[in-house]
Amino acid sequence: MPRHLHPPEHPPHHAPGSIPASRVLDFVQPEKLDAWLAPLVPEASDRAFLLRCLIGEGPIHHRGANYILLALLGRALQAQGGVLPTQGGVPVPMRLPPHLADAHEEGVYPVSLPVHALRELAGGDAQQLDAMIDCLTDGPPQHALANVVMVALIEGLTAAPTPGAP
Amino acid sequence: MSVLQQQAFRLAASELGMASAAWLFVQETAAMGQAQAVASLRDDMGREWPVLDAVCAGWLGGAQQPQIDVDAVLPQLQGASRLVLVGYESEWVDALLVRLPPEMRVGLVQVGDPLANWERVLGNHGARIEPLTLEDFQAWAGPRSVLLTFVYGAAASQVFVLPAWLRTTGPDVRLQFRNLLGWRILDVPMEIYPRWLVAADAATLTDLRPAP
Repeated sequence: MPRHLHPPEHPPHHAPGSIPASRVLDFVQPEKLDAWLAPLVPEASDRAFLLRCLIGEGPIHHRGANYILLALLGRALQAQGGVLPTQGGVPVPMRLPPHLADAHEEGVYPVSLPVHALRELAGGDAQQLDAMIDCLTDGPPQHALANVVMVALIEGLTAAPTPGAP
Repeated sequence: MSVLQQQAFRLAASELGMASAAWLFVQETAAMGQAQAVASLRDDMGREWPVLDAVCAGWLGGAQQPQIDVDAVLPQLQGASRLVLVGYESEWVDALLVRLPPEMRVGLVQVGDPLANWERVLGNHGARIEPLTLEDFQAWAGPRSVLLTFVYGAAASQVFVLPAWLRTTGPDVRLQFRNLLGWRILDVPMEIYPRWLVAADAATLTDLRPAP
């Protein structure tokens, strides 16, 4: 067996749990996320609520992963000169107990799911589009809202002008 | 310890809330006998009623009026359309209601206070406070909705609150309300273990006002 003469190219692997819980989220910069989300959610108190759902509560790994993915997409959008969709979309309901389905009046999150890119992905099939919306908006708010914001960022990216295009 | 006195306090607490009833008793007692009478009230009833004990201790220490800092909580209610009360204290609720815009709906979850007579509590407010239950309070959820409870004591990472708070702030609910606001209403440490209350993680609150 040949000996490895050079260090491996991949970074050293950290076993899960090797970073203290109090330090895991040091990379999270809520103010950056807040700035990226401003076009999508104009009201500051709504954004504060949304940020709490995305990165403020729940298991640490979800909060960190949400931030990383949204930040990467936000940076990509910024680099491409794209903008977040500001109109349209479907409401994102809170998952309230079924017996309250007709009783609540404001049980939706203050962000909408843009559907332009999804509609294209579904090839115009309304049932498939509905199923996609269900998949993206169901489950705990940490997941559902991260899905929604990611779709918005992706929609902004796909609508951004291609660099070098005439 | 007078049985009648005990019954009277229990009755007052059932309609006013424990801290509000305690202030009523302490101030009326002080009006008749000053510090010695308040000290006797504390000795007679403090072990049974820890909130009353704390209010007596506060009064004897110089805090002779309840701290009702509405200005401390109003910023957290800015822009809200619904306020859901989890617990009830008449002195604080009365002071708050007159400062809220009339279009803001106010509901009260009628559960989790082992002393409360909800019918009488609500009866004192006409239609201004709407009845809610554990089964339906989430109908008031939303991005303009605030849950508010009264905090009787805060120590390290714990707060002493009414038991209903433990249910109304479960992981399934807490991301359905914009703020989970704790209003500190006692500014003195409770020397008697606060029976009638429960210790909850302070992190169940998104805001604790006035700030400790």
